[in-house]
Amino acid sequence: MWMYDKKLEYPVRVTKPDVQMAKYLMTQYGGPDGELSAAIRYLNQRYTIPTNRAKGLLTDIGTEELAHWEMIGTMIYKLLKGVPPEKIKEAGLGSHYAMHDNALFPSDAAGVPWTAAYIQAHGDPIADLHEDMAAEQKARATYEHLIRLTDDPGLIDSLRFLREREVVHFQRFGEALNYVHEKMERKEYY
Amino acid sequence: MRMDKKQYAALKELMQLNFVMTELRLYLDTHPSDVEALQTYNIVAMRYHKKLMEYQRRYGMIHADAIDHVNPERWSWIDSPWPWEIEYR
Repeated sequence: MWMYDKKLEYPVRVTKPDVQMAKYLMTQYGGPDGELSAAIRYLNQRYTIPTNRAKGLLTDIGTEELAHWEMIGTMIYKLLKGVPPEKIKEAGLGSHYAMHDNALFPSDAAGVPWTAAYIQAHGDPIADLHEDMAAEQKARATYEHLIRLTDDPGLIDSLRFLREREVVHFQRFGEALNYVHEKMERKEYY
Repeated sequence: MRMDKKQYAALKELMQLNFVMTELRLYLDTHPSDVEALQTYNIVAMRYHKKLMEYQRRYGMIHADAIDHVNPERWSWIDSPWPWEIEYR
């Protein structure tokens, strides 16, 4: 089960509304390498992964990704707060407004809705952990693109935090993968 | 939602302590026999829970399991600030 804490993992400071940046950030809200994909990918893979280390890691990183999803949601919410429809239209979010007003919706930066086709589960720990490590690197690269697209110092600070977390997760998944390899060499399972 | 300075500082401390726990938890998942890290985790977790109790008694609920209520006649869960509405600084 899960319990909710009424706090963010890390502060989200937004200096001023910026519809264009809200649009770009949607890729991390509902895009292929976004935080929702990450959370569902890990929390779904954990049932069949063979080692307790990897079960712990997928559970805990999956949970942390939900907290990151909330941080991205907070950024988009703050960037769109109080912005009138004509400004939203000007910045290229008119189609979003037509369907969702200023509400959030899990889609990528081009408006394509989130789909489970973004994630995988092969039941093979080597395949799954490699997918997870690749996902962390893709998210790390995406955060670097997003950081280059804004000059808001508050937003950059939060995005740098999220980028750093991807690096840490990649490291931990790599350790879990090495442990699986060790176990296989000792023929504890195949 | 603009929090007063004292409450914001207390919330920020909770966020910091809890982040240390998040980070150490992942490390311990792949290094379960690192006694030094485990001891650090325990120290930080104890400090976090102490600070969490103090915060919830003064400002309202952060965690839905809380037993430290600011007002015995009011369910404060819905009154304490929602994380996306806080003005962080």
